[in-house]
Amino acid sequence: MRGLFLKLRFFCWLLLAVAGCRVSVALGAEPITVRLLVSEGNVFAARTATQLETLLHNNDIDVVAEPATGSQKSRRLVVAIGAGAWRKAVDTLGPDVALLGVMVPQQTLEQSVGRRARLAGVILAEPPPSRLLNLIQLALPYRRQVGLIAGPQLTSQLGRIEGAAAERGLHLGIEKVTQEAEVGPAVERLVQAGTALLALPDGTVHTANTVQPLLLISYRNGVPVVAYSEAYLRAGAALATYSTPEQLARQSAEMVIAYREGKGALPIQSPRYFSVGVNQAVVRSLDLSLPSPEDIGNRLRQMKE
Amino acid sequence: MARGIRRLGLAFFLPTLSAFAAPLASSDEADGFGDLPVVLTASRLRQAVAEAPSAVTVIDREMIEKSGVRQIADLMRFVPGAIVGYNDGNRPVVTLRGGMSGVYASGLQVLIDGVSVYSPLWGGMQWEELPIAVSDIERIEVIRGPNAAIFGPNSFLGVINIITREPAADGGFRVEARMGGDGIADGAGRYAGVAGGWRYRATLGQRGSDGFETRPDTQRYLFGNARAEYRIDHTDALQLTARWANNRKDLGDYAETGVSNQYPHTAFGHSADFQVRWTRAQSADDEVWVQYYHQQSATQDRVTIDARLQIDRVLNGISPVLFPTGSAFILFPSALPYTVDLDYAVVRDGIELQQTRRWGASLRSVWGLETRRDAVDSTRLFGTRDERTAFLTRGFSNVEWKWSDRWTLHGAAMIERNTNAKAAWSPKVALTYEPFIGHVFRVGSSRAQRTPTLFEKYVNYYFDTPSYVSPVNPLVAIPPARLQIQMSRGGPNSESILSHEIGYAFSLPNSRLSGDMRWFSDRLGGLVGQINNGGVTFINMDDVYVRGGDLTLNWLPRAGTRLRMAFSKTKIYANDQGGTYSISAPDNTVSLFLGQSLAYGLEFSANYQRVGAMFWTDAGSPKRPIAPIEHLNLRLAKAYHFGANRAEAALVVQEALGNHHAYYLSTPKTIASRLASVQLSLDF
Repeated sequence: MRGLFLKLRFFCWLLLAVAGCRVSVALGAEPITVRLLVSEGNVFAARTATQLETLLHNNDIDVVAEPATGSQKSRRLVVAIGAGAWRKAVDTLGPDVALLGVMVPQQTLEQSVGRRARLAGVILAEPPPSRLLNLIQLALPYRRQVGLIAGPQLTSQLGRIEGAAAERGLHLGIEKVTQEAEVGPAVERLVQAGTALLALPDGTVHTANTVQPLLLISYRNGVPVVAYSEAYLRAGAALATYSTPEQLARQSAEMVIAYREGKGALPIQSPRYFSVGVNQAVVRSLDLSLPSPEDIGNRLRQMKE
Repeated sequence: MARGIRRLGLAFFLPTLSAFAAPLASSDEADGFGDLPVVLTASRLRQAVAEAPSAVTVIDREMIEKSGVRQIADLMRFVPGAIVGYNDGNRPVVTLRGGMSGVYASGLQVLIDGVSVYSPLWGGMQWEELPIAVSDIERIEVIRGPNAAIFGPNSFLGVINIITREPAADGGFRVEARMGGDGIADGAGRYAGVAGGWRYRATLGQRGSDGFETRPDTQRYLFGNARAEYRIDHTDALQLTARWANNRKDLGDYAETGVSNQYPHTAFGHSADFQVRWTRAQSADDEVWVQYYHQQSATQDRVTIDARLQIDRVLNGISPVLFPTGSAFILFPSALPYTVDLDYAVVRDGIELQQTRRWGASLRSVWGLETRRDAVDSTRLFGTRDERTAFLTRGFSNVEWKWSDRWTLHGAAMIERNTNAKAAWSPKVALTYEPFIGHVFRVGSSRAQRTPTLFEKYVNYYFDTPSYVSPVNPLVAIPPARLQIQMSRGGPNSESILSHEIGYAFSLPNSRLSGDMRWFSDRLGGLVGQINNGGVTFINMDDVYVRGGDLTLNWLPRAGTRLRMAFSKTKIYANDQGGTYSISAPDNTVSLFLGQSLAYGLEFSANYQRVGAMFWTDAGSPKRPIAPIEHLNLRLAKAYHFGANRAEAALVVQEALGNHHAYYLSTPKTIASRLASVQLSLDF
């Protein structure tokens, strides 16, 4: 009993110490006001914004949400969530306003080079390809022939992705497409030799219109799709690694706080926190035996990306 | 008129729908992160053999393509214990657990895309009249045992669920043709595309052959089918399916013994059906759909028979002493041809609702409701101009409770009410245990009913003959008479089955080997048989016990090689009052499949089945088994690629091992012989 009391007292001291540090950091930092710009019609971005707002409030940061229109010149820090919000921000913000982009596709970011406002940081929409390759290596160790459909968005990264696959002992079969209609035939060709299909974000390859043929053809041939989003997992991918709105909001909040503390422009980051999901119905139907998503996730976080 | 209004309504409905919901748009808004349509829904996913609460065989697309078969029924030879016989060249018969049900194999439920095509008139399936090409089939799932709790009444000895290919999984044109011996002339053209937000797929084709040399069974079967899907949004979709067929086939016997049961003649038929389904899916385990389906078919069959066969029976009935069997053929040395019309028309309409839902990590449920009306019109078979109907209402529920990582309990039940049978319930319970990943043991019991067919229930088949005067003895005159062939006296009640099984399924990914095995024991009660009581009538007669086991192994030893083996052993115990059940199952069946990729893009496949000695219960006399049959199909194919286009040429040899009796031991003979054909296809 006495031991328990001592432990409780120790924890109370510890909590007070941590709270004191937090207050001192908050007092020492320059107060800022954050405005959130969210892409219209992007439900995922809206959920991320809601989470981020809560986290920022908890860190004593004022948040004002406004649509991505009108004058933004008075903002100290603008967080643009989604590609549309990012484009509007770089088009309208002056260089005196700092900008943090969240869920910005790589291609959109490259297109806005030279026009951007003062950059506070960017969290890319895409997870690093190496993370998905690690996932295949971990969860589907007997499936080494991996198919990949590359649209214009991915073409410039192909060399790097092929190298990463080779490092992991995976053989990458690549089909290049330039429009949505080419996706179905490309999948048909890939699944003839491939034992897994890797979905990496590409605005031409993975759309609401292409996901049907892609998932149906691969499923028909017994080839699991490994994808990058929770929506893809729900649509029929066998497994996926993705960042939830909560995880993206957490990373965004950390970047806002870092900015407030005067750490300057942060580098462009991939989503740092992520989950692993398994579509049990699809996996069962394909007769695959996989470890639990939690186990895969834990091991994945320990692997080099 | 009402039918016309329905058609008009549909015509207005489709464009209206296209107008209010635009196709799903794409943007660069980090595609694939937001809402995507749920594609692999519960109704699209195939049963996992290891996870299923029943013994399941999945005939996948690779096996279908490489099988070399031209009749869909022949694909069933992959299923352990399944037997495919040919009553004649255009009437294949498929059965599980022996030939207990004869030519109509009424114990098997057959569905196409989830809708029963079980004949309400005859029972079973008219396999030759499936308005789809072999290449239209995505896969076939066969449940090797009763499963009325899920698939509805008449899922008695087994369930065959044919799933056609999705419009979204195809694109462009395909033409295919097959020419070969015995007048084989098959062909089909297909187009799959997108228009106005609809993904669609349409096939037009023909199957034609001259059948067995020993039978008048030439067939020309024209068919068309279309399937379309419209995504309303990321959760909702509308699916339409329509099929049409026109059939011309020769029937009858060549009268090798001098007396023809049916003179060779040509029957004509046509059929049309459509199905509309609305689906809402939030995930693979959260789906609800509602569908309406309509099927109609009509057959015109004018049969000429030799009236002496019936007169002989009548005379013998009057006095076996004065008129021993065969008297009519002495009194009337020449044939007395008499033509009767065996026309009939069938209409089916139904509405069905089904919901799949997950209630957390361990609990999943499926429930559904269906109401269906079957109507058959046949003045000849029913002796009335009124249509005979059956009205079915059923509800079912299935719960899957995975209470630990290793144990799963499946419980299901269906309650059905049919105007032609007593209300009944069909429960099913199964327990699966997975001690190690990839090794599943299963124990289960299931009960099911087979509702009497409208023929068994209401048959009143007779015809009126004119007066005949014997040319041998003019004193013998047969007055105008009504010859009663079959007559129902109240009709039988449902047959029942209680089935128990123990199974084991395994998957060894390291060795690329999987398989399943099981032992089963079935007790069938009240099997419908015929008695001659002033005209043949149907009553519930036999109780039959069936015991057996089967084993299926799948092995992919290396890339490009696939081996599959299916073995079954069956034993039937019966008193054989109404049918010769005890010899109707082969002692064992063996199926082997080899698919092998060769050099120069060649693909070789061999498909073998051995069926032990057995007797088809309606194969007449003598009542003894036909000899064991060995089927062997060989296929050698080569694919050519021209950019994005693909062509394939294949040589197929069916029944490579030569002649055998395909159904009857004596006349009418159905002797299958070696048959070569060439298949060509082009995708562009």
